[in-house]
Formats: sequence, structure tokens, C-alpha cells
Amino acid sequence: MSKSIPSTESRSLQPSTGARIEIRGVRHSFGDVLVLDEFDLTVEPGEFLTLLGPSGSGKTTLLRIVGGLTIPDEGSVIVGGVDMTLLPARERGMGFVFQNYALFPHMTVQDNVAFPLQIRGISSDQIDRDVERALDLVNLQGLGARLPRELSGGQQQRVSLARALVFNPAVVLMDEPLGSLDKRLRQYLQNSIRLLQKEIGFTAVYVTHDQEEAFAMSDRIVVMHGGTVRQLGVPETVYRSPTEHFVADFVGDINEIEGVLRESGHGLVIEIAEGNTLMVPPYLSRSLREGDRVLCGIRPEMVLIQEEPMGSPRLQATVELVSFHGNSYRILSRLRDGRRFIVESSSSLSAPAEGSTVWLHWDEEQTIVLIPPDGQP
Amino acid sequence: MKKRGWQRRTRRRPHRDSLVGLALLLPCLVVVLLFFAYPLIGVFVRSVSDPAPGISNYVEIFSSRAFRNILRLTVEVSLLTTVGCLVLGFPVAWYITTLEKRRAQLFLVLSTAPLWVAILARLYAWTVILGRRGLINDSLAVMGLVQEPLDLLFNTRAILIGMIHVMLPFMILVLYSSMKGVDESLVESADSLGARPRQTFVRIYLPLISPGLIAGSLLVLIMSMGFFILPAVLGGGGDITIPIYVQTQIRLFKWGIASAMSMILLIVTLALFALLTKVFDPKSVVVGGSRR
Repeated sequence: MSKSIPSTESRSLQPSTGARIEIRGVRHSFGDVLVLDEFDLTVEPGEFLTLLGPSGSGKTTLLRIVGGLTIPDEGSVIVGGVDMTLLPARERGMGFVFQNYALFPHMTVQDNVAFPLQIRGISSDQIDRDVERALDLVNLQGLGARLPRELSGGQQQRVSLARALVFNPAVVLMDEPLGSLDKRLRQYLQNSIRLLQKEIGFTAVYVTHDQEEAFAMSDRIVVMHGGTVRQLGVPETVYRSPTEHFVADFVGDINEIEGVLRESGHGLVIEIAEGNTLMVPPYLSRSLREGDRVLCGIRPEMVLIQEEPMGSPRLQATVELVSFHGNSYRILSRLRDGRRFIVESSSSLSAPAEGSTVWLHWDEEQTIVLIPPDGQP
Repeated sequence: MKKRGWQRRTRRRPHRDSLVGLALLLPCLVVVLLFFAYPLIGVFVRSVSDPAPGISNYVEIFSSRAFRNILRLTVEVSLLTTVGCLVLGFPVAWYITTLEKRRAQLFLVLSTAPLWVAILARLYAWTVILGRRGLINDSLAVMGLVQEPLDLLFNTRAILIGMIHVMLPFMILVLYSSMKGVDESLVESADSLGARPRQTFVRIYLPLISPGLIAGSLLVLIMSMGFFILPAVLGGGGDITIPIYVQTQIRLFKWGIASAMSMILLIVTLALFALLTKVFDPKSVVVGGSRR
């Protein structure tokens, strides 16, 4: 029908190759508020990339700019080698999944999913086949005649997904699609979306403020804050080696202990409470000098609780509260200097008694060393 | 014992709730029965009993060619007013939805401002504007565009102009509220799925606001059908609508004919109501739009 819509040939929902998305120097503001500042990002073809950040970090705005629903003040968006910065959404041929599903309430499920195909002037036989296959894909066989309001939230979101996939887009954009669903359903749909994406091969950009969701689904994660990229990397790296305090704190629980750099016999070390010393990670060794202050972060599940001191580093603590979480215990303890310290240990181990004195151990190499957010190194 | 008493009370509650509901409804019910249902029945009874029992009044009305003209004029003017209000009100209402909140409120107040001025004052203002020596004719004459003054007043066109002027604020209010209720992400969604603006408008936007279109049209249509004062002031000698005709019959003490005419107006209005709701049924619009 329209030449500008990337064509959907007669085949449908067959493995397609995702397109590369290049975001270059994008800047955008609403009134006086700058929401995206000189933003650069490349999403590889077929990659599942998640924009993770608190509300107001600019992640949804960035997604809308990629999708053509918002035109950026500056910068460009290049998809599959084509500059699409000024192209309206309808000519980009991307699938967009909205948080509130955005299903057309006056159309049946069948008609909702058929809509993008009808718009493209595809024959009705082909539409029927494609819609059936798309509904199959999201496990909604036989619900085509229902109206959206007759479906549960999870089913509605799957219809919305089927509608975004049915025309074989090379790029699918998802804006907190699972935000309003309960936890179990969310995990189920996370897996479904990820399996579909791997099977079909489209490039996916996913927005969420839920770090677990980001970890579970993504090839790479972009942690955003204040309209800029704070860290870009695979989930494990973002979790284990956050590059700044905001990222470390946002992507998971973390225990923070202050440290000072000291010269020891063989090079710089970090001195923390109770006479423990930690080695300086190699990537920081050049930027730190004696006397600098750092923050040492220890994730709760990296800590081993023992009744006797064994090796170092170790900290003595009093157990205040033990809570049972099925596969783990969360142990709230207090260090000798009065700080809180959270430990997560497998529930296959026995939990310490509340009120008892314990020793906290962890692997020195797993310590996250950060330059404090306020101070200069 | 105590517990039983409590249980009994909760079990009885639905019954008590319906009693409370009835009590709340009662004042309104009394007013409606006393001042609406009773007179309506009275009008009906009179239409088949005055001056003599039977349907002679209806026979007389339907056999008269003049009456058919009156009926046609009434329906035509009302339908044209409705269409006119839709055509003029739609863009205004839509424009207001695109404004930010404070400006939108200002525009809504402005577009409904005519409602604050007494209807007679507004109608006589139109006679000043449209008259043979009125604002328009004088301006045209000064500019040398016309030799003879145009006949703008005291005809069907003048009724239409006045009618649209009076009804437009209602249409704008109803359309605005239904347009404001449209979830913007639905329009964006259609956009992202590849629909051009015209397709989004016809297949998504119109069906979504169709309840407002129906409600606004019905409101304007029904009010127009029964409007007396406006055709009386702006219309010419030949522009007799049903309400005007009823009033003339009453002046002649022909209560039976006047009552029969009122019943006919009521029935025609209800028939148009039914027809419009059927034609513009949201579901039929949808099916027509999305199935081939």
C-alpha cells in the first residue's frame, strides 16, 4: 500500500534478522527539564537490550524517540543504516508494546492483531493465517473472538505482543510491558518474550525499572540516570562490577563500608573496619593515592556467616533479625561500629540464632570498590 | 444470642439497602409522576376525547397538507441543526483537547459563554445582525457588494443560524468530554502499527468517540424539535414548526388538536432517537470498520 512501510512479504513470523539501532548525540527536553543529554548508544542486530533506570531517568523518552513517537531536539536515530530521526512512527515499521497494552477496546482480539496487516493491504486469507500463527505464538489460541476487556491483564499483554510481532518488525520496542502484572505472571512472560525474541531474531529494546527483570531478560543492560548512560554492560558485569555508587545501589542490595587507602609493605591497600585490608582492584590502582577514601560494597549473598573467625576479610556482627524467604534466609545484623549489614544465605544452611554473635566473611576479590558519590578521589 | 442478632442484621442488609435506595428515589419519583407523567397522560386523553371521543383529531391532522409541511420543516430544521453543530463543534472540541489544562478551561468557558446570556436577548441580537438594515446588510451595502438588502431574517435560514448558535455549546461540551476520554496511547499505538492519520481517525478515533457523537447529536436533536421561542422570533410567516402550531391552536382553544399534535411531536422525537441510536450504534460502527 504505502511504499514507505518496510514491506511484509507473504511469509510471516519467520526468523528475521534484527536491525542495528544507532542513537547518536540525542538530546531532548520537556520545557526546561533536560531528559536526555548527548545520548549515544548502539544496539546490535538481534540483541535484547534493556534500558534500566528509576522513573525520570529518560528511558521511556529514549524508547519513544527510537519508535518515532517523540522527535528529539537534537541528534539522530539510525536504524538498519537508514536515518529515521524525522520519520513518523508509522513509516518505521517497528513493533511498539505499551505498558497499558493499548489494545483497541472496540475491536476483538482477532481484529486487533489483524490491524497492522490490514493497514498494509495484505489479502484476507493471508491475514487470517498470520493472525492465527501470531496468537499461537503467544499461546492465545481460540481467543480471537473475545474483546480485550474480556481477557486478563496477562492475556491482554500477550495480545499486544502478538500485534507488535505479526507484521515481522526488525525492531520491537517494549515500554514496561509487564509493569502491572503480578510477580509469577511477570516471570512467565519474561521467559516467553525472551524465547520468542531468540527464536524470531528481532532487535529488542526493553524499558523497565525492575533490575531483576532487566537481569533475567537482557543481553546487555543500559543503566540510566538523569538522562545519561551510567553503565552499559552484560547483566553479570553490571551487578558484580558497577562503576559507580548509583549503579551499585540501584541494581541490588549492597552493604557499604568505608575504606581508606594505606601504603603497606607491597603497594597500596584499602583499610576497612576491624583492621581488615583489601587489595586495590587493578582498574583503580592508577587513580587512587594514599589517604583517598573509597566505598567498599559487599552484596548480601556473597557473605558467609560463621560462628568462629576463619580467614579474612572478616567482620564481627550481632544478628538482629532472621527472615525466611523460601530459598534463602535474610539476616539483618549490626556491626560493632553500629552499621547495619544484610546477609543472604541459602536456606539449605542453618540460620544463626537472633542475638548471637557471628563472623561475616567474603571473598576479597568480590568486593565492589567505588569512589564515593560526593568526594573526589 | 448476640451473635445471632448480628448475623440476622447482615443477612437482612440487601433488603434494607433497597429500601434506602427507594427512599432516596422517592422525592424525584413524586415530582416526575406528578408533573410529568400525569400531565402527559392528560394530554394523551385530551387528544382522543376533545371535542369528541375518538381519533378525529389525528385524522384531521394527518389529512392536512399544511401539517405535513409543518412536520417536515420541524424535522428538517432539527436534523440540519444537528449536522451543523456536529460539523462546527467537532473541530472546536478537538482543538480544545490539544490545549494544556488552563487554556483548555478558558476555551471551554468561552465556548459556553453564550449560555449565560438570556435567550431572548441573543435572538433579538440576531435580528439586529441579520435585519434588512442590520449589521451584515449595511456592511455589504457600504462595500458596494449588493444593491438591494438581502433577505436574511424571518426565514428558515435565519432559524437555522439561530438554532445552531444556541445548540453549539452543548455539542462542544459533550464532544469535548468524550474526546478527552480517548486514551492517547491508542492513537500512538495505531501510528506505530503503520496506520496513516486518516486510517487512525476512521478506524480508531471515531469509534472511540462515537458514544459522544451519539449523545451530542441526540441532545441537540431533541432540544431542537421542541424549540418554540427561536422559530417564533427568527422565522418568517411560513416557518411554522410543531411547537408554534401547538401554541396557535391553544390560543384558539383547540385543546384537542394541540394535544394530538404534541403527542405526534413526542412520537416523532422518540422515533428519531431510536433511529439514531441504531444507526450510530458503537458496535455496528466497529463491525463495519474492522470486518471486511
